[in-house]
Amino acid sequence: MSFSENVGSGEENPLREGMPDERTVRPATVVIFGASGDLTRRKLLPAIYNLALSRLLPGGFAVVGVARRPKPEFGREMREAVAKYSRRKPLDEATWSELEKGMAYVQGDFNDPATYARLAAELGRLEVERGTGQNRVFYMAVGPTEVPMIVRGLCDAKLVVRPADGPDASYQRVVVEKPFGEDLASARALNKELLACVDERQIYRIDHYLGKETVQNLLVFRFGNTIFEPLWSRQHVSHVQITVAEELGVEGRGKFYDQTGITRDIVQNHALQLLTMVTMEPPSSWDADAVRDEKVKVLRALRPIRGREVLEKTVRAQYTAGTVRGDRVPGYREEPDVDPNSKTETYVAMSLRIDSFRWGGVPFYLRSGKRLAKRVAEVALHFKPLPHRLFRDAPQAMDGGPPPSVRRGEDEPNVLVLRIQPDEGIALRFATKVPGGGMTMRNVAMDFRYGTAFGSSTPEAYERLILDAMRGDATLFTRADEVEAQWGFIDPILAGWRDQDAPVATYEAGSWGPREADRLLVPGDKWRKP
Amino acid sequence: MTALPVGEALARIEAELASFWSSPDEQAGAPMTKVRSSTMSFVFTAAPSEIEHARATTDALADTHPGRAFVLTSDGRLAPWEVSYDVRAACRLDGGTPICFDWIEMTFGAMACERAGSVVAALVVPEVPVVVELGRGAPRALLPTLLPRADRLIVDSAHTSVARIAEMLHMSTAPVGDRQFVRTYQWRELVARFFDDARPSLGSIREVTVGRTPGGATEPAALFLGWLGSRLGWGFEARDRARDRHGEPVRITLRDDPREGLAPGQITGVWIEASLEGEPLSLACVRDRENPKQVAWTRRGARVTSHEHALGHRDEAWVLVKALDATEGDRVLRDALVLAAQWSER
Repeated sequence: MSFSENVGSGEENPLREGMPDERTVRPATVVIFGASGDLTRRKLLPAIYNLALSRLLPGGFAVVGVARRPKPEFGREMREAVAKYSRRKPLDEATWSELEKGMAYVQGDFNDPATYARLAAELGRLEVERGTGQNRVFYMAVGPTEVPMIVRGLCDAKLVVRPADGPDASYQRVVVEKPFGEDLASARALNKELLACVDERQIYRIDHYLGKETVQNLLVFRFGNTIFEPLWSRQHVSHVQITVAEELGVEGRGKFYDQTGITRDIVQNHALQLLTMVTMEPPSSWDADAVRDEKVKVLRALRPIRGREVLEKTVRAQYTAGTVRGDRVPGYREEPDVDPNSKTETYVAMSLRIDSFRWGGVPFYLRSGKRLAKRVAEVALHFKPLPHRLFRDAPQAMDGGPPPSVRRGEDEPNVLVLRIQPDEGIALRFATKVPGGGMTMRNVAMDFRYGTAFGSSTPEAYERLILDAMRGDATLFTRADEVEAQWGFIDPILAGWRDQDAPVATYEAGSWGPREADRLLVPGDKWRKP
Repeated sequence: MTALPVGEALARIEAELASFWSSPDEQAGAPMTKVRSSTMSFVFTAAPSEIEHARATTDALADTHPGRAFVLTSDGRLAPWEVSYDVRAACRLDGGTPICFDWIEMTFGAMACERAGSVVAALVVPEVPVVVELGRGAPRALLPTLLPRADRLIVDSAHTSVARIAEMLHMSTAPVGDRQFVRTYQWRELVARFFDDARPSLGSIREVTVGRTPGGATEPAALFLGWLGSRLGWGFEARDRARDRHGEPVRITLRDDPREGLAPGQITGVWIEASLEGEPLSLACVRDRENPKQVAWTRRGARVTSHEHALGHRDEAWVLVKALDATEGDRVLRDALVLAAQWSER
């Protein structure tokens, strides 16, 4: 018989021991700025509802939406959005009804102090009625230019104060969506503005990729198994390919996209995050700073690509008209609100090097594009070929004739593929002997699929991340120095393209990218077609 | 079903399985290699009258926890050393790959029961755990050789008394999952919530009342009290009396609370009297009379809060998956079962 020693001591609640989520989420209010937008309807409210359905929200809980537009029927609109976009259907009326009781909406301009006064009054009311205390998570579902203004407004209204120490001290946290700036200078300026009134410990920069189960599983796969990590180095890995491909085009966001491009939109954050997870050293613990320290070390070890090097080590391209999944689609420059002479890249491929003992000499091929053949995100580790091809280059038979059964077949190097989406899972390609006489080889794939093994409906990334922000666990959020290191790598590439007037290649929509990307590869390597 | 002596039946089962796995799948039009995706060997043992239920359970499980499933029972009408068996297999296409599963049903004659463990050992999928679920009326004669083979036991204290489960814990060192512990999770979670911001009051609980609909096959309060008591270091002196870890008395009351539309043996409410910083603290979590899937959660006295919560409904497939996978509560459940058995003996 065992029981907790801390009964009645004011420490952890011993009744929570052994429950699925031992760490208690304290009562809190989530305040969403930009509550009339798509992100709130499609992702945030459905995520909060699913947390409620999974009973992961605290008893004292409230949601306040803040936006410019009047929303007299905020609750009803959110109910419709949740019913439509929740991963679990149909809507559970009792859960929604309880959630809706703690829901409020504040209309106002983000630069108007009166907005924050009204918000303060609403929060005060909810704190009494819902027992949320002064624990607040402010979620910035707004454009990047509005974030500093809102944070300043919150600070001026004293709705956010610097954190006090002590287990029962109330907390206020600010969740910021990407992009975190549009280059290193703006990222630094944004960090400076945020840190002027809140502490780094209060800032949670969301890259929703990190909330994906399969991305987290990268770390479990590497550091929770004994057999893979010894192979995870230049001694055994020939090269690594990271692919983040989309079938979609700019989807009515031509104006935004033409100012952004895929390097800023995907590579600076998602793709570099994948790269760091695959290449980081084992952290000393599963602690936010220990994990993030190791990721930052990788970013700092990335060999910069500057000036003319961009012409050799990167390829940028735009899609032309083509066929994706059987549908004819227009070229990028024919999309609405896109400059017909645009040089904005919808595809980028890079050959990267990490200057470290572990990865010295190993090429990392990273590519991301819109309107590619299929939507897929994966990391593929290609292992080195055999030092001696025993079954391929067999000696002549004793009588001088060829031993044909030995010479046939395949002996491609092993490949380990970590699929992030869709068909989340892990596949290992290895050689086997074809049954029968001789030694003919054939490659087979050992294929693990999350869906087949676990079946259950996987939580959305936003569920995990919102819960972590409420718990104060920043492991899956990006730290200021991490963001700056990402931009520190990307900025010279963008500058190089501009200064060198780097050509913009083209690729047909529905293909796997431009032919020019092949020249990034070391002879003998090939781009994968996942 | 074919009835044969044990050894012969085993050889035939192996041959049938080998024949299935060595032939290609044809459902996509062209022959394709069958793929096995295995997470466990699942052995469900129950009374013969429960076989249909056992089939439904193992069929549903194939969707989430593929592997090899066994349904085992015994029947005194069979020749004592004989076994009747049936083998089924099915494949479904997943991303163009045929993922296949198989099921083995066996009914043991009275004497053959003692060989159940060795038969299962010969047929389980290697490298993955063996999970044994004890369904309603699981034949006692199968258990002595079966339980030691288990890497995890699944029980259901809604139909098997905690005293019998505690007895079985002595026959196996495997961790245990309890379907009823999963079904009643929300009650424990809601009670834990009372104390999230009032933890010192955990040491000053003086009275616990558990309401339940009468007529259950087992006492639903037992597991709840076993859990609460084991977490807080209580010892039960009688069914209506416990001592907390400081030796202070705690009064236990069971309340019959018949409700229309609610099955027998369902918890209807938990009431706790405690104190916080010298002030009384009354806690209640009670099913709504009109809507029994809803509970009112109330604190009065030193903390004043009230909410309504949906208990929701989870089907038995989900309950089993949780009993299999939610291993973080294993130690807590074992402690709860042991103390619940002690309480039941009082």
